[in-house]
This record gives sequence, structure tokens and C-alpha cells, in this order.
Amino acid sequence: MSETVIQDKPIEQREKQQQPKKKFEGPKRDAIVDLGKYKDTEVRVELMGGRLVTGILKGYDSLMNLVIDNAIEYVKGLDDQVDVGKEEKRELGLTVVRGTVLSSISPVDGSNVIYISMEE
Amino acid sequence: MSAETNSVSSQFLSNIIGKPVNVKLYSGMLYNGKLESIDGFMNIALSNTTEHYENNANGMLRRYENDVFLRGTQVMYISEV
Amino acid sequence: MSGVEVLLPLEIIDKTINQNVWIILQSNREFTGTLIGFDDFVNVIIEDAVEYITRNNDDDDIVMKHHGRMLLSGNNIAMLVPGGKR
Repeated sequence: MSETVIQDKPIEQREKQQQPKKKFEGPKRDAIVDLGKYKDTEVRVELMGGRLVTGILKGYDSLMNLVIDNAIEYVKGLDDQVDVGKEEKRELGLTVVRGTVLSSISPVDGSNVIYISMEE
Repeated sequence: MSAETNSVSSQFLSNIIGKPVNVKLYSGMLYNGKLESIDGFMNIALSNTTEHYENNANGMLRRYENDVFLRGTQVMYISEV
Repeated sequence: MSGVEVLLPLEIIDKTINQNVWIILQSNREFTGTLIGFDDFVNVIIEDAVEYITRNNDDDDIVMKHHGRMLLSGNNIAMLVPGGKR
């Protein structure tokens, strides 16, 4: 019934009606990274606002909320720099990190701190 | 961003309408007054409002004779007093 | 394929209802109190909340002690730690 109505309209209008269908499919929201790979391994998580947390990834959901065990937060220094080398840290324990504020996550294993010498 | 009707937060909100509350904005400003109205965006209307910075002990900055409207996006919390 | 039990974050939060919780915002502000409930946006209701501002060297200033219940906007919540502050 509705199909016959559409076909009665001029071509331009038909196109107008069909276009939105395609347009509103929108971007796919599937995860582009499988956090399952990192489960039970140590990860480094940066949050919006500058917090930095490391710990064992115990769980996650599709919204990128995380469960981090033995979480350690590295506290910003006075100069606003987050520095893993410095011992300004505090232990949080089992922590839930909100996916809405997550800005990066990466495995600790296989990454190094590089010190840049100011001398010479 | 509206809260669905049966969630804990909307139950809480309907419970505290008409009661005295503290509302803090992300700026650190604290508003103490009677909760006239609130919606799912956390937009808030208060009456008999006093304004403080961070806490009531810091002294009153201002008293508002008329209703005060607070924009939901700026609200950090609303608390019973 | 992956681990036997993937812990779901929201399930962990659900399990801490009626227990102490430590809530850390994106800014240097934190709250502790008894978790009463939360919604889909993780707006949180806590009871008898204590509000802190954290400074660099571990001395946290208590901004305010609240009595009764508080609805804390989920907008700027970064982390939730079951069991409260340590």
C-alpha cells in the first residue's frame, strides 16, 4: 500500500524519501580493538582530565568501561606532568574505570620508558 | 540524557522536591535553597537561595530573593541538607 | 576463547550497592559514602557523602561532610572504587 503511494510521486521526491534511510545508518559502533586480548594482563590507561592508571585488566564491556585490579594511579606533579618514573602514586585496588572518560589504553608489556638526556 | 522514569535517580529526585538542598556546580559554587523543580537533565530551580564557594562555612556570597535556575550541564551534585 | 569470566564493570558497581564506595572525578575531587544506587548514565546516589579535594602530596582536604543522600552527576565521574577510600 505504502509502496504504491511512493511510486505515484515524482522521482525527486522519491529519492528524498529514500536517502535518509542510507544516511542514518551512521558509523558502526563495534569495538575496533578486542580487549579480550589484554584480559589478565597489565594495562596502562589514560583518562580525560589527565589521570593515569595501571593495573590488571579483569573485565570490560562494550562501552569500554573497565575493571582494573591492583590499580595504581600515578598522580600529576606540580608541573602537570604525569611521570611513571616518579614515585608519586597511590594504590586504588579493584577499580571500575568509566568508558566515557577513557582516552587511551595500551598493554604495559612491550613498552618502555625512554629517558631523554638534557646533557651534551 | 533524560533519566528514565523508574531509575533510582528519578525516584530520588521526586523524593526531594520541596526540601532544602545543596547544589554544587563544577565551578565550585554551592547553592543552598529549597528545591522547587528539577528535570532529567538536572536543570534545577531553587527558591530562598544562598550562594557560597565550596562550602557553607566559607560564608555567604549572595542571597537571592527570587528563584534561581541552575543549568543541568553545570551541576556536579544535588544533596539533601 | 577469552577468559572464563569477564568481570562486567557495571556488575561490580551493582555488587557494591549498600557498601562503601570511593568515587573519583576527572578533576581533583573525590567522594566517599555508601552507594545507594546508580542509573544507566552512572549518575550515582550516595549516602552520608564526604567530599574531598586532593592535593599533590597526599593531604586531602575535606571540603564538606554531607548528611543524607546525594545525587552525583555521572558526567565527570572517572573511577569508582568499591570498598571506599584507603
